[in-house]
Amino acid sequence: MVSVYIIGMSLVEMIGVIRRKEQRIREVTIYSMLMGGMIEKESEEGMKVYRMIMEEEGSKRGVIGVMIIGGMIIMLGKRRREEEIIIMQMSEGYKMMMIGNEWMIVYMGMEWQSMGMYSIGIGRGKSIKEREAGIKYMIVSGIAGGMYLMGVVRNYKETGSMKIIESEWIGGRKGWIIGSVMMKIGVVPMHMWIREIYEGISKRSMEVYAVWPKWSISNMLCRWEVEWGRWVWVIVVVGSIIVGSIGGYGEESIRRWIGYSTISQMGYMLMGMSMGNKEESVEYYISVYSIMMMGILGWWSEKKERRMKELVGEGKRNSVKSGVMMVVMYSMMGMPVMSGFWSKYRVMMESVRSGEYGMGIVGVIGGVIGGYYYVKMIEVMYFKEKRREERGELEKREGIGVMSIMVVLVMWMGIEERNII
Amino acid sequence: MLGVYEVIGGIGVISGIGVIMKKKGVESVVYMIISFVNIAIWLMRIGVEYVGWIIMLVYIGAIAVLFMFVVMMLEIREEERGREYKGMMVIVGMGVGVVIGGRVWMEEEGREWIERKEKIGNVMVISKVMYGEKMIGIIECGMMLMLGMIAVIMMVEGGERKKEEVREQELRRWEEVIRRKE
Repeated sequence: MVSVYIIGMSLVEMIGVIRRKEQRIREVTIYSMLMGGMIEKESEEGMKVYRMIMEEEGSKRGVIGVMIIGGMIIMLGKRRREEEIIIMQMSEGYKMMMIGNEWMIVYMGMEWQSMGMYSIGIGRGKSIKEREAGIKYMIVSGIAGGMYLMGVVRNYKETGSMKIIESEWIGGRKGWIIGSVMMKIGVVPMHMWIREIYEGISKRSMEVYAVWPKWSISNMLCRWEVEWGRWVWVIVVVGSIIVGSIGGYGEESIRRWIGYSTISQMGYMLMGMSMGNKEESVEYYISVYSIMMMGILGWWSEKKERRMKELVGEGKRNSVKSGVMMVVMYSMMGMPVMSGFWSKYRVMMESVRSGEYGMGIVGVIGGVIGGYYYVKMIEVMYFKEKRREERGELEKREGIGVMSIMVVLVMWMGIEERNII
Repeated sequence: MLGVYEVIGGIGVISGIGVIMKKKGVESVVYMIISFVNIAIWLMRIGVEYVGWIIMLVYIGAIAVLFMFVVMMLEIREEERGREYKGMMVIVGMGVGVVIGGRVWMEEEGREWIERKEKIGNVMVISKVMYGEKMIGIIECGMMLMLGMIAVIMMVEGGERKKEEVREQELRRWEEVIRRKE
């Protein structure tokens, strides 16, 4: 018995390849993702096999989160069978990223997940925009991979070890690695790709791009115990908060709006990355962010609208959905009671505790500025009158279930904030 | 003194020259295979078995056979390409050989680097790591290749293919012909 999940994965693949008309495969994929990963991580045999290249402990929460997010992504709606299989395989890459104990294992996982991302991004390759966006992502990710390898080489030259834990931070030697990871999640010096690629890729690809890599990379960074170069850290955090909150100001396209929101949220996430207790700040932040983003994606997965002004009058037509969306938006903005407030509060307290008062101030100001474009969406949905054209909803998408679970979680994590972690 | 290394290497070099001297494509591919085999055996003799076996498997097993198929399928009877460069190619090849061989001959002091063999072969060491200690890594690599295959199929295949009757195709072709005539 090698590993429950790998065998299950290959079985699903075989069924998918041989019996292409099989309808059950989607359910099988969802359940095996939701259950299989957790069971395998708990079982002795699975641990024993994985200990060869991975740590025993790793970030178990992160792995379980990856499996749950993957299951949710497939639950969001019907997609092609190959895409489901690819998503299932990508989760293995994310696991390797999060619990690998050598630099090259992490690299392998990173390339694995980005290989899935290229193909999902390009999709059927019918529209030029999709192809362009997928190839752009490939270039970005290739550059990031090259930077990562460069960093690994330099690190090996300094420390003589490929293990992640053994090697120590030597002033700026890991800069290449950190840079490549920054490129992958798209914070400020390397944020330019987010806007264009989010604009180009299809909605199904967006669901994969938006949450999953962010979750896994932030968990990975939490585990590494990387001590940041001070100025790098300050510039990255402050820059991405400012760019994310000002850039999304006049944004009309919903996709680009999500992109800018991602940039600023990632800035906040890195704010808690200073030192000390990352469980309290960063992991809480990223889980809240993933929940909110999954809520937005669940809402958005059935919409045909691409522009903000097409949402006018949405509050009257779909009152329940819009109400749920409003809750998520306020949480994203950082309104108390909702969990978005507590997550921002925690990372800001973390940065103040480590002596960076200026960063906390920038965070508050950025939150106020960025709050505008979350409110703007609510305003458009509820308080605008005119509407040019009616658009129906997409069929065969089922984001409503995911969305309702997520909004309950947003409220619950906010109210029960004291008892979490 | 003519040792094993000289004989094997000499056959390799001669068949390497044969690759570019032969007129038929198939013959030159056969010479290429002989050259590869000799190089592989030579590498194995000096204690680099792993690279030798890789050359055996990859170059001879896959690439040379692929060349062979391509050459046989295209049916290149006469050597057409590169006829005017043939003399130049031989000269360039000999020049490169002289430069590399001369450097080795000048720098080499004794032949210990050939004789120095380890008790456990490279293949054993590598395979112990690959299939024993880090076996899961190989499995993961296999899964990764699987992902690549599925992704390529997904991207290439596109949506549902449009079915078309032979009759319609023929009709469309005739329409085009008629249009061209008009």
